[in-house]
Amino acid sequence: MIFQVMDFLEIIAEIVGSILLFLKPIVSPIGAFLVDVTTAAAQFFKDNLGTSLTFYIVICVILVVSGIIVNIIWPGDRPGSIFSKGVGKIEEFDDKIEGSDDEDFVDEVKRCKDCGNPVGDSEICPLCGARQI
Amino acid sequence: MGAVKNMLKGFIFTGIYAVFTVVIPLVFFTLIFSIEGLPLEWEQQDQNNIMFWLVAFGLLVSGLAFFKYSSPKQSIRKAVFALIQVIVNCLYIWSYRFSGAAEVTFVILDFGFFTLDLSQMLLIYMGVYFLTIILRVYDIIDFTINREKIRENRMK
Repeated sequence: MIFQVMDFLEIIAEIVGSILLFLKPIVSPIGAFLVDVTTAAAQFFKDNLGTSLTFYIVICVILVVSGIIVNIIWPGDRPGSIFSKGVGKIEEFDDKIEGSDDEDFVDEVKRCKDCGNPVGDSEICPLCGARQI
Repeated sequence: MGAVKNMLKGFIFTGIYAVFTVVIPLVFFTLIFSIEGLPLEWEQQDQNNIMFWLVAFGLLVSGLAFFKYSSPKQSIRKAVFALIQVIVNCLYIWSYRFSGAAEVTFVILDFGFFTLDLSQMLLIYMGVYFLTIILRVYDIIDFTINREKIRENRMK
């Protein structure tokens, strides 16, 4: 059983090895590039920020605090609280405008009881002469 | 409710990352350095160096983990911070190498010494991280292109 498992592992190792060999011309330069970049960045940190932990602690705290603030403002499952207030105000304003459109100002004009002609503040209808008291 | 849930998730993952990137390595190296009689050739300066870089990059990784995991699913900010976190993870892994933790020299009495070089293992990790960087860049592009659709689905 153990020898069978060993055979199986050997087959897997050969497959993985052949894939890696096939990809080597592509992967190796990319890996070398990443190593160069990381080494340069690490060297920068070592030269300039390698004496005190204060910088790293401050960055960590800033990340956490800003994360909290960003989540309060933009939680993701609804519009951000700052914008939602603005949107709410705009919607409220739109509703008012729409509401005022809906109200027909013609209805508010005083009309004659008999003929329906607008009479305004006049006590007698100018069209049919009916009194509006 | 969404914000509280996100932040809770962020704090949990920050804790996990802090444990795995700072606490466990620190405890491990402190134990190794404190055990008398181990055939390891590490000096006090190496010890300080290793501890310093582990804590430094561990803190950055943990902070970024909070931002990443507290961000809404499929959001652009999550993708951006995931990318930054992978890059900082590369630095964290690399810190093992440049602090000297990847080269362990064993001294055997009346025999000599030998050095265990773990750099190749770190290089494999770097390869994995590079593939992860590609995935994260793809995520950023995907989330940016489908931003409106994702937002609509999330806010339903």
